[in-house]
Amino acid sequence: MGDIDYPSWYDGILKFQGSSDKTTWTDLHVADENIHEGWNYINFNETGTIPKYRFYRMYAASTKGCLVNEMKFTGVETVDNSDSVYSCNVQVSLNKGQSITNVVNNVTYSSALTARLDSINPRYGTVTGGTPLTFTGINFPTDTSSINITIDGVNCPVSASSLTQINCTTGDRPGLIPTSLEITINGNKVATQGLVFRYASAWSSDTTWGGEFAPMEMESVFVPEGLNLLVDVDSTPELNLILVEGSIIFAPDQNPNHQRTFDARYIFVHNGYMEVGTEEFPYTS
Amino acid sequence: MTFTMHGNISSPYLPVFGNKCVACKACTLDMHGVPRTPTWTVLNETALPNATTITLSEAVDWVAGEEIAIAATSYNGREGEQRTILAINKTDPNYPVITLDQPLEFKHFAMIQWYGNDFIDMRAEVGLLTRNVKYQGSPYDSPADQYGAVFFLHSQGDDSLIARLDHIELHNVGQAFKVGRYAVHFHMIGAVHKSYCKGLGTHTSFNRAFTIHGTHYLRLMNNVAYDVKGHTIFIEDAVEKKNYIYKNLIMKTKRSFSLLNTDTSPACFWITNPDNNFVENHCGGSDRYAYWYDLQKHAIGPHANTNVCPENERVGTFRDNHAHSCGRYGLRIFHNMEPRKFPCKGVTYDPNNATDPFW
Repeated sequence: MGDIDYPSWYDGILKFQGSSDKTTWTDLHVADENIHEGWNYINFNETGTIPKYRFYRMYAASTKGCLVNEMKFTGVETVDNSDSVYSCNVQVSLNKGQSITNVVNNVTYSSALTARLDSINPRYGTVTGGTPLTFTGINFPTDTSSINITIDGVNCPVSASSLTQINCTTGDRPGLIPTSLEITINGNKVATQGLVFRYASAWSSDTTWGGEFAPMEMESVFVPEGLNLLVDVDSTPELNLILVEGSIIFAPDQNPNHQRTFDARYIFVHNGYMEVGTEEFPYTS
Repeated sequence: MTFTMHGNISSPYLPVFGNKCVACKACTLDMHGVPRTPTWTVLNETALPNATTITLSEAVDWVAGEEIAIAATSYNGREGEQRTILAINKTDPNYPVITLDQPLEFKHFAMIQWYGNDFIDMRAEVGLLTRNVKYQGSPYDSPADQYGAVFFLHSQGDDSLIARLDHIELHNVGQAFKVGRYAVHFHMIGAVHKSYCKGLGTHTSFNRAFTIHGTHYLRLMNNVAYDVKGHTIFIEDAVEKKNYIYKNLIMKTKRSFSLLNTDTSPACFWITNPDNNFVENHCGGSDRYAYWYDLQKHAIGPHANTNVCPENERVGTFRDNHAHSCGRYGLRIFHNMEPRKFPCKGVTYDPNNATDPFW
């Protein structure tokens, strides 16, 4: 919420509404006296009435009481339409607002033709390549030659694919490169939904330390930008400073009862990223 | 996963950030342990001294081997007790029975007192301290030196860093005899819309649990803090606003003689600016106060500014907060709280207008 000087302007007045046709609106939540500036939470899961509408709005009948900065939906998205095909009329205009021409044939969006990525397993792998990856999603083609997967600019050759799964094996990634993922099918991009696979340098691997052994007691570690350091060891000696300008990722073990420890004097994350689990994937061991 | 931080008071200091710390500058810090439901609850039946079992009032996902703390219910806030769960009987899932590793020393009251349609819920709180991701000061020297590990989060500018601390355990944290070296310290950042501390289990801190310093819009939710020296949730300079402090359980807040003068009479929640939101928090045991609106005349510390007048600013939300077993008061408003539309302007009145509220 934005500035709220007087909760009474909002109490019973500001409404969160849903509609399927933009004319009839149903109240999903009415602000009460507890509204406050900053994030306010409404948990529909708790009330057991998960809303299913096409349009949402914040609405206040009076001029006061309608100042919303940002809305965020978490949970299950639903489409209140069982059609899997949408047809759209195409218009072409030369200059903005001038000479609009309708194209005779409509463009049809069909979910059956849309490939979508839902998950990547594993989420990390070594920079030396050779990690078998499983991409799970929908509407993938069975012809492996039509699929092209590029991770951090490095090709990941596809070995097998089915309607819901693609398998590929990573190539080696030399140098420090920001994380990126692109999957194309016959040149068309797949909706990756922001998922990434991280090329990581494993703590346990000699190559991470230039062929030398891993850091020893009271040594310091510098993680430069572009490097994802994956801490995959069960314990470390007591280290001095860990300076992170890239990212440091603590990977959980498969076994939920497995104990790992990390000992240091300083962990300094400077313009970098430190991950011990994420909101979506909490640390599980 | 256990992070153990080493060092002592004479270890070299990182400028600004200090030592024995996770320092975060313009960073993204994601630490997410397995979510626990709930992080704290209340007793269903009074537990008497020498009892080895306690009955909870709702279903929990707690398991044997985990550590819990039970709040004091007498006038002495230090009667909070920490125990290990030896076994947990979920035969009636809504009223789990916990067997403790050793008998209780004190009585922990649990009753709802009715007055007609009104009631006072006087059930002792029980907080879960264990999480699968743990952050601690080295157990060998931290307790002896009262010098634990800290999180120091600082870079200047709104949303210049993101720290999401979620269901992690903090043990042997905070550095006594040092101002600014608190268990979790959001330091002079500005607005932090994307940061939060949720479901943390903090036990044994030598210097506060959460410090909100020059930071706004921070969310502290469902945290448990037990056995903490000094003001436990600390709003530092009186400029901090709009922070959302929801459903935290604070137990055994102890006075500190190694900190500010005001920490000799500590509060679970020390509130210098009224424009913050406190909802459904519990303070179960403090040497002095639970909620202390210590509203300053003007902003203090690095933000010292006579154009900010917290004692006359609008009051945010204060709703459904509980307090018991405090050495002095549950809610203290001292010195003044006089919300005004124009906080820093003097009060003037129109002597010819009888409807003027200041007439």
